[in-house]
Amino acid sequence: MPSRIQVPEPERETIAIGLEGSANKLGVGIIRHFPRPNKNSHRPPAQILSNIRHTYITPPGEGFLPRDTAKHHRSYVVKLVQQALKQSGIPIDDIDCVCFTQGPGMGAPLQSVAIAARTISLMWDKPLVGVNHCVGHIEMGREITGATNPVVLYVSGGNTQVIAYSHQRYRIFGETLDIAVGNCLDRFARTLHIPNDPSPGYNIEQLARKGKHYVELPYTVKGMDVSMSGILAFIDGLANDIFGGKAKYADDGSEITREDLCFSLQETIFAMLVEITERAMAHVGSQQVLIVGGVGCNERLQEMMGIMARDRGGAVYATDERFCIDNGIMIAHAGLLAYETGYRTSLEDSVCTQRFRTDEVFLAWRND
Amino acid sequence: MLDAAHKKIRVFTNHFTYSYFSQFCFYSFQIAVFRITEMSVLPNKLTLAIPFQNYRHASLAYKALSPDPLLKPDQFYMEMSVISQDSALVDDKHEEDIGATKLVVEFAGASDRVLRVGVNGFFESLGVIVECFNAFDGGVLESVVDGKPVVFE
Repeated sequence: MPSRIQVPEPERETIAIGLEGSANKLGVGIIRHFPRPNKNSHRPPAQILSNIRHTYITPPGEGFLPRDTAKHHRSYVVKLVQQALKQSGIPIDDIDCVCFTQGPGMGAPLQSVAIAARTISLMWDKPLVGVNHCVGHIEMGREITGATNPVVLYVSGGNTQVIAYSHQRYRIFGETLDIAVGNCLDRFARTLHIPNDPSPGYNIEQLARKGKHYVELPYTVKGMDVSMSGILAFIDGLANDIFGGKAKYADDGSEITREDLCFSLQETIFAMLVEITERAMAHVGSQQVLIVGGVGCNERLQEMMGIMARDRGGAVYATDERFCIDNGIMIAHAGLLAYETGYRTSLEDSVCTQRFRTDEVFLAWRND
Repeated sequence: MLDAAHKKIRVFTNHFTYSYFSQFCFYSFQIAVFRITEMSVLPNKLTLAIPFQNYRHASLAYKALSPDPLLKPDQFYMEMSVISQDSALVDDKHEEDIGATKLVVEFAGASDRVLRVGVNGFFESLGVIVECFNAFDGGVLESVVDGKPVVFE
């Protein structure tokens, strides 16, 4: 188990550097926290000193493989750290801790970035802080949007979870039973040979805007959970039929296009997400929804979630691509919150883990 | 095994190398037995001595590499040690003052292919570490090893 040291809340500014590389994005960010002016006040907003990212983009029709992604991260990580330091304009001495993503994610890319984090932590003699990727997303979303106690929908290429806070842990209310929402979208983009630049999900979103006809797809909500793989197999089959020369027709007689398929896929899976999120809100009694993760910057998802939240007298909180898509700043932020409560990751405990559940993390920094 | 020609100091105890085994084996005696078995059973062997400018860099590389466990120790096994040619005791000197230190790595694999893949993986990780040294700590590697220039990247 990681070591825990009891220290009082810092009365000075603290600065952390965060390294993220759990999937195909490599991110480095530097953040500054300010102390609370007095015991009863809130902490002033964090200051983002730098937040840079380099994405490993594969050709259309191809996904990113762990080995190649790790190679990408190894080639860029040191350059990104240098650039982040330069952009922030702060000397290395001012940094309090080095934070890195410990999981969940792809093993080889995580390990490549962890090696760099360990090395700079040892060289600069700064403590190492291992961060749970999901907790990073949630904490950054809360920091940016100011949502106090939201139900969190965490949707990305590797994760789909509905989360609510209770007793110093982020509890998972519902999740995907097979593949993540983003994975479903990415793989459909591969079937359609849509470019992966800037991201497959973004390109699907653009196509979906031009879709006019809804094609009925399986709707697979299982209690609080969802299942995506059947939908993907179904729509892949449809797409292969259409592009194989077997045209499909909508009710008004017009041919179903790939734009219609993208539109139908988004509408179906986002409706499922809205349903389980609404149920979690009813359970928890919360009026706020916070959407985090790469799929969270999809404007259609934000719009659909907004309609539901307004009906319940609440609001939806979302961030833009700088903070939604994997980034280093969220790792620095969540790591610094843990650091301020005395959390350190010893060298022996700095091994990355592909499976690291959101509810495994004890949130010493939250006492509500 | 290690080249006995130099006067060496085994700087680290086995603590770092075997931290992941220590969860399973409480007695160093058992650890030693396990290690000897793995090293001697696997037929394909390779020993590398990687030179660093000083003790600090060699030991940093050692520390950064050591936490990651070997995924299949019965297929591929690796053991690192930091060896300084400086005759003075390490404890008496500042880390940066101890010059010319080697990171000695002994590899053993079940087949030559496994050995090759494992050694390549090791070099990939070491590349990141050396790049960190170059970027944030000035020059690191001796440019020449055994009369031949060493080029990283």
